[in-house]
Amino acid sequence: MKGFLLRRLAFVFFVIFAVSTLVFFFIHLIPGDPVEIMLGETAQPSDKAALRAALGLDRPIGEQYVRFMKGLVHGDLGTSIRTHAPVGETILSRLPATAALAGAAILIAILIALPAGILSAVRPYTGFDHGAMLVSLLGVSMPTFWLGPLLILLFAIRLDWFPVSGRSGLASLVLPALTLGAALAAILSRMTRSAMLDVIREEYITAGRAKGLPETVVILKHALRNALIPIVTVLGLQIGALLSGAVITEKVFAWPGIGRLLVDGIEARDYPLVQGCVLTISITYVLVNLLTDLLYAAIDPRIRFEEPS
Amino acid sequence: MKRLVLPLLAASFLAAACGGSPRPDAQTIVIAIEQEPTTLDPRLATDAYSSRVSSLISAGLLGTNRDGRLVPDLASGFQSPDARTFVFHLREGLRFHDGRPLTSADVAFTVKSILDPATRSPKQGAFKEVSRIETPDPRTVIFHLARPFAPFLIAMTTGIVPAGLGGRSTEEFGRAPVGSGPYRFRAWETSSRILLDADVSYPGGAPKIPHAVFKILPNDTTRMLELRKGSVDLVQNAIPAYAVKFLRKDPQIRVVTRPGINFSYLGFNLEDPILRRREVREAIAHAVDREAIIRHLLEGLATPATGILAPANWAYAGDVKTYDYDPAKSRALLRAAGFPVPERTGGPAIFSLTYKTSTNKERIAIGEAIVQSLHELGIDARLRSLEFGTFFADVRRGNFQLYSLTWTGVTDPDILYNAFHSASVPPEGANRGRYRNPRVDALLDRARAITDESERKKLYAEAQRIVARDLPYVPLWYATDVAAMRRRVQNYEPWPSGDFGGLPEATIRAGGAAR
Repeated sequence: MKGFLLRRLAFVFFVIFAVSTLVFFFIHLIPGDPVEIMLGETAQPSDKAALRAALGLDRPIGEQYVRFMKGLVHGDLGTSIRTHAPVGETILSRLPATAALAGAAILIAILIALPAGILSAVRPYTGFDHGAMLVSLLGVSMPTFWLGPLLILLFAIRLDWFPVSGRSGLASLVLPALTLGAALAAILSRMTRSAMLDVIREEYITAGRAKGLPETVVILKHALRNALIPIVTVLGLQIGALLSGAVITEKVFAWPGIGRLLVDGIEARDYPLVQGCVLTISITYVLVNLLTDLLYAAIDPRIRFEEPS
Repeated sequence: MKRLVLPLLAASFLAAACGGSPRPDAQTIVIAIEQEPTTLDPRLATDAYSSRVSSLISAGLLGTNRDGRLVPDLASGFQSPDARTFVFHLREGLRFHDGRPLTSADVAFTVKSILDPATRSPKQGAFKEVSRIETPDPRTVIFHLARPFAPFLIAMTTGIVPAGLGGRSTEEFGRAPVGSGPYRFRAWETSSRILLDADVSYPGGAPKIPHAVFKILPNDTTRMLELRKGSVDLVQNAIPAYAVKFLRKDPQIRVVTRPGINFSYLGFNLEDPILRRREVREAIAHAVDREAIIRHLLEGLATPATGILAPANWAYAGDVKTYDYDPAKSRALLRAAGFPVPERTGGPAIFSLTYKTSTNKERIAIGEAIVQSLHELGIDARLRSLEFGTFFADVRRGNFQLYSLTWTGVTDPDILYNAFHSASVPPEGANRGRYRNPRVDALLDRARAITDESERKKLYAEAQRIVARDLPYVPLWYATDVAAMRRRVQNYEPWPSGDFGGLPEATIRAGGAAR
């Protein structure tokens, strides 16, 4: 177990190194100049040159890369070109908003998908099953920028239950979380259904029923637990889609999170800010996948992380 | 399933009980803006969103009125004994919002700090001719210029900051400014809201509504929905044309329009071997059906333009050459230029052109319409939509054939210098099409160096006539200013190009808080 963790952590560091290198070169490769964007096009060339020098943008790209990596090793993500605020602090101040949004979206997705998927599997090819799977097909197909305004029209304007946008307490979290969670709920419910269908046909389920266990125990304890591995795998993989969906959802709902920070950063060619945001998102993704692997062992006691012998 | 449905329902009812968003009360006007300001420091605020909010907090020696003309603000007036000296007299009893008196020392500090490269102010260029500042007494400031420079007066609308910024850094000040304008700064909630309070002691008269909230709503649809719900009172110009139609149908919303000054144009690269020929540019100008684009794509919310200066500008010259929609004339011009224009479309292309634009949906639709018109002339035109930063960098570098952009908030005719003087080719200025005409250069140099307005007007008029003939731009249209507001908002007049100068006069109808 310890060896596994160490190996995985070493891998995480490698991924972070690779991602930071890629991000650094991609953002510097795309055209556009932060100095032009900041000073405007009527600024004097000498002022632009001075600002470029002050920001270190006049140095060779290799030297800038080494400086960026050095800072990274010391946990320093640099300062934003646009706002002059430390990037690390800026990201930390936005992290809770995105974490709340993503957390609520996952919660909503699980609360919808598990019961729907289980019921569909228990009563396959019934009206409920067809209905649930049709709805989930819709859920996968609906883009967030369309579903968001639709939910606003219904729940914020027609019914007046929630605010249209912004982050002001629990009520404001509902619509963005629903928007972001819809696609995840759809994928998860389909995954739950098929995983449960596979398991339900196993002999130990028949054995459980034969020895007289109540149906709920058979389904929820024996079948669901064995079906969880693929469900957890998909959930872990979908976190990436969730984080990219958050970029659009945050814009629609004026949610002050990392996604909007990233988009604003790209538009201003705020190199340090973009690097910091992408790095944060990719570290989250890598850690979630590590967590998924660890969850496997908790779900299925047969899975053990051992040194290959 | 039942066990799950119940708690979910209960949760949603609970949320409903907590209520939606807090309703705006009769003391507060809520305004939606589409982008977060980068700074509220008037010395640094140049992007539209920063300057619109900043100008409500920080007043300058001069201000602009609804027609874009200069009027006294913190200064009661000024004299100009010669074209290189300007003497400003401050009003009596001026104070910053923190109670500190505002004196000539603060004015001198503001200008000197703008000229200090360490401030990194984008406004340095406007003040660059200032050679010396004198402050003989607390209410008098004298500016000496190195040479006559008419645009200097426009620069005097820049907000005054307290000397030494009250001991704070530029970054801190930009996040929580202290000014002397109609509104005092209260709070800035990053990425969500900026809160302002009316300043009762503002010499120009305290705003009628005590509080103003600027909500940052980057999504077009969300802005419309907030307005429909009533959690936003006012949206100005940040309204796509198609949405105006829907807002007009809502009995709770009033849509006010007025002719605007934001000028959209089609720019040519005059260093391109094909486009350097005037006949080709004229042919393209006659091929653009502006009336149809305005009617169908812009919902009528624009008026055809004659040039970069709008009719509302004091230096506007309307007697310039214009180019009506006339594809037959386009064909004739191209044939005269030696291009074998086919009688019907579908033949071999006579030449190809790339038209660059941003990713804005409206811009793409307009681009497609123009590209289609060019196809009908036998030109193989292609539309390329690029992310704005990339697009703009290409335009600056001259890496384009055709592009379209919009000049916003132009009130100073000196914009002609920036756009068409040969000394303004990027990186120096905004002459992106590399237009060069010695006569225009001479006219614009001269117009900068004198202060007599009627004389300047003549010079600018001639420059406008030459530019219209030479056609470095095809003038497209001036966008109509649109303000959509809840009916409870009264006496609000939109100002040119989306400024909130009309905000202090606005009132809220009593009892209007209820929906």
